[in-house]
Amino acid sequence: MASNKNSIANTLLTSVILCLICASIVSAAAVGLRTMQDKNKLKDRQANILAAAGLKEEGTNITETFNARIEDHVIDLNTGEDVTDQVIKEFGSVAKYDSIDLAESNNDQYSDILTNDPATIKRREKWAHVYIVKTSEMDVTPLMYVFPIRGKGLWSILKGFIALDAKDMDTIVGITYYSHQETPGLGGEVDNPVWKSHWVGKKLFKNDKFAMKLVKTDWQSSPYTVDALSGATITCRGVERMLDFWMGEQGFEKYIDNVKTAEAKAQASN
Amino acid sequence: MAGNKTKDVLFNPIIHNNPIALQVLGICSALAVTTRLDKSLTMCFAVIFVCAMANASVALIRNKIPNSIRIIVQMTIIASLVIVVDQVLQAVAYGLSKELSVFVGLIITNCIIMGRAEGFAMQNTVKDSFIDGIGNGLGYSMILLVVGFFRELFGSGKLFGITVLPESIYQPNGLMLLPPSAFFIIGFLIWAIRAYDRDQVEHDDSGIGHTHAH
Repeated sequence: MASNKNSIANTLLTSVILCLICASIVSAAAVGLRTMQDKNKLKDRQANILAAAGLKEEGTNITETFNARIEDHVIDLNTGEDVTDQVIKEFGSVAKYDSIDLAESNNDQYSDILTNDPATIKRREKWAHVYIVKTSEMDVTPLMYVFPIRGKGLWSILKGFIALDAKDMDTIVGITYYSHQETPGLGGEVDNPVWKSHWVGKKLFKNDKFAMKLVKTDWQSSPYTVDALSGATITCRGVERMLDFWMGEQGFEKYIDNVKTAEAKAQASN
Repeated sequence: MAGNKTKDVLFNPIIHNNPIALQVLGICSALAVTTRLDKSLTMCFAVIFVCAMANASVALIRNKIPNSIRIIVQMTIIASLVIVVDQVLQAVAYGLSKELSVFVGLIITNCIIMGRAEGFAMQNTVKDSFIDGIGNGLGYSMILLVVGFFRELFGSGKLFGITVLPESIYQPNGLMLLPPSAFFIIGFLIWAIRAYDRDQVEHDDSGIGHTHAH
């Protein structure tokens, strides 16, 4: 009996059966819980957009506030035009259009391979979400614009949002990351509320050129510098590069220019 | 007799043979997840579940496992259970699962679980192994909750996120939120347990402090 148990045939058989059983349990759990997890992820993303915009306080009803204060738009990154209507036609609703997922799953129709890729994301979606924050459901004047950003840190792609003041499209209202796998305590400190609060009121552009830097010392003296995280040089470089990328000509630059021109026209006609 | 043995298997790991305090296993996660009680509690449930189920499953097939791959078999069972726990947490407690981040996944490498599967479940019945898993999970939980209690109370003046020591009375001690504080608390706990249960005190055979000549 004992020698039979340890025979090669039995070893192979045991491992195959064990793998099959374990695999089915794991897949059943993953598939069965998918819808609940997706709902949580959506809510978490909304919560992070609200947090970037400084609208999330303790006890805030996330879905309610999100629906009342935030307009989800989709824009064409190459032209800066609003393509929300086209997205609704093609995907049914704006929320169903998951630009990052399309880019990450190498969808050729909706994303392009990057040749100049400082954020190391390999592919960039053609159309990206922009979240416009309004004063209330009635008053549609934009208060700020929340842009999704992502880029490689040390271990993982960091995904987050940055909110810019609608008045100048330059001053930072807030920044958050909702997904990353950086080292807890080092790069993982991008989640630290104190560090995130350093960004508030800082500016991205100096004479229309991207100027934001993460520095080791004396970050308070300039509006273009933020304290770098100690022990997280590569994560910080990633943060800097992804901002440069997403705020630059491959990112939201054209859209931001369009918004500014429209604003200037509106003011002139007043 | 049988009743006594079950009771021993269940309660021994809590004080007399505590996996953290006596065997000094599973310290890594005890430092990482004890900054808040809700995190500690979630981790405790996860470890109790994985430890009990892994022990029971290993005991169930202990006579069928080929010797040459027994560690891999145990690992596979533990890893599958941990993934299931991680998936459930992502579905029902998304915020907590995000904060526990890698530490739920790292239950796979928690020496307590592997140690119990190899050291106990391979030789014992399903029922005893299941209870041993719960017992060891409870022993781990006891330390985690005590450490979590002190760290959250003195580190942020809260318990389960509810303020009990407002800043007007007590200035939170930031050190308590950093990993080294868990070392201090675990050290004090080991001291307290050994003062109560003298049998756990190890004989000093290091030679330090002995001046007699040979």
